[in-house]
Amino acid sequence: MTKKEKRVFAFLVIIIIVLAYILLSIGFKSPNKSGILLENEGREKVLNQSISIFGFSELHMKSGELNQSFDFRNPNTNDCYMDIALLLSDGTKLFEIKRIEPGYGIKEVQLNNVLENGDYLNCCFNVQCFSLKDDMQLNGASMSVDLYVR
Amino acid sequence: MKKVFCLVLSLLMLMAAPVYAEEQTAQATVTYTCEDNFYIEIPETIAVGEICYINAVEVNISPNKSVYVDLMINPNSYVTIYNEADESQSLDVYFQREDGTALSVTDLNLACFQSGSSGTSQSFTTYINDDMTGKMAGQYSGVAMFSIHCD
Repeated sequence: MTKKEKRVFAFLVIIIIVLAYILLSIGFKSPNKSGILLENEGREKVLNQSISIFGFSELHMKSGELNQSFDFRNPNTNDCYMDIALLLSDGTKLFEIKRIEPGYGIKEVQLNNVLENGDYLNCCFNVQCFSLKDDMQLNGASMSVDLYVR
Repeated sequence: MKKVFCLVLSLLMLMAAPVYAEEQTAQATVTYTCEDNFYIEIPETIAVGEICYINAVEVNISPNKSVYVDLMINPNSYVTIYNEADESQSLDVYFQREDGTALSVTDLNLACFQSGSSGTSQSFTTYINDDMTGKMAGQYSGVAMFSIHCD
């Protein structure tokens, strides 16, 4: 290797080192990890002999599909089973699920009929409650819900 | 010497590529709509003459909205409860808000909770107008349905 060649080689090595430093300092940073703890069923019951009901005002579903995501929980602070049903404003029952135990929830439902694109306003979401001891019907609730299907 | 040059230049090309990719930055607006949701506590049963409470355990709604809790009563403004031994025997139960006003078909609202009112309660009482003379003794029970809506 001649002297000139050695100089060029050394120059190139320096360039490589500088580039490597730049890459390591500004590049190749690993992305920050992120996550959300979703489950929170440990909320305290404020009143004795009461039923905690999870409520919402809007629902979103996919058109043309029977299986739909649907989030509903019977909090573990309740002492009752829950029967739930979703009805359109004309009374058409979209689904019904019986006897959801306290501490259990629903993540997916199967509709009785597929829905087409549209806004289905003033649907009725019924929650009926039954005693764990003797299955006696307790007070319940009905919610007005707007359903958006896309 | 040519081989060394080729090797070094190849390395430079490999290292230059990620630098170029790193400079390709873009901005995106991430949006997410958190839908209204809430936990409302209603009484399990209605005990006539006692104070009942409706509690907002968790109210996660838009600031311009409220959660209304109404009671579904019949057109005569009461809920009928029945004798557990003989269902032909009944009593009519009326409802009164905590401000003393009676619930009627034209005003069914028992409680209203705004955004940020988690942990608050509103009460109501029940009473019977019937003349109890001749009413069959025993326990009377019935179911009250609450109507909950967020507007």
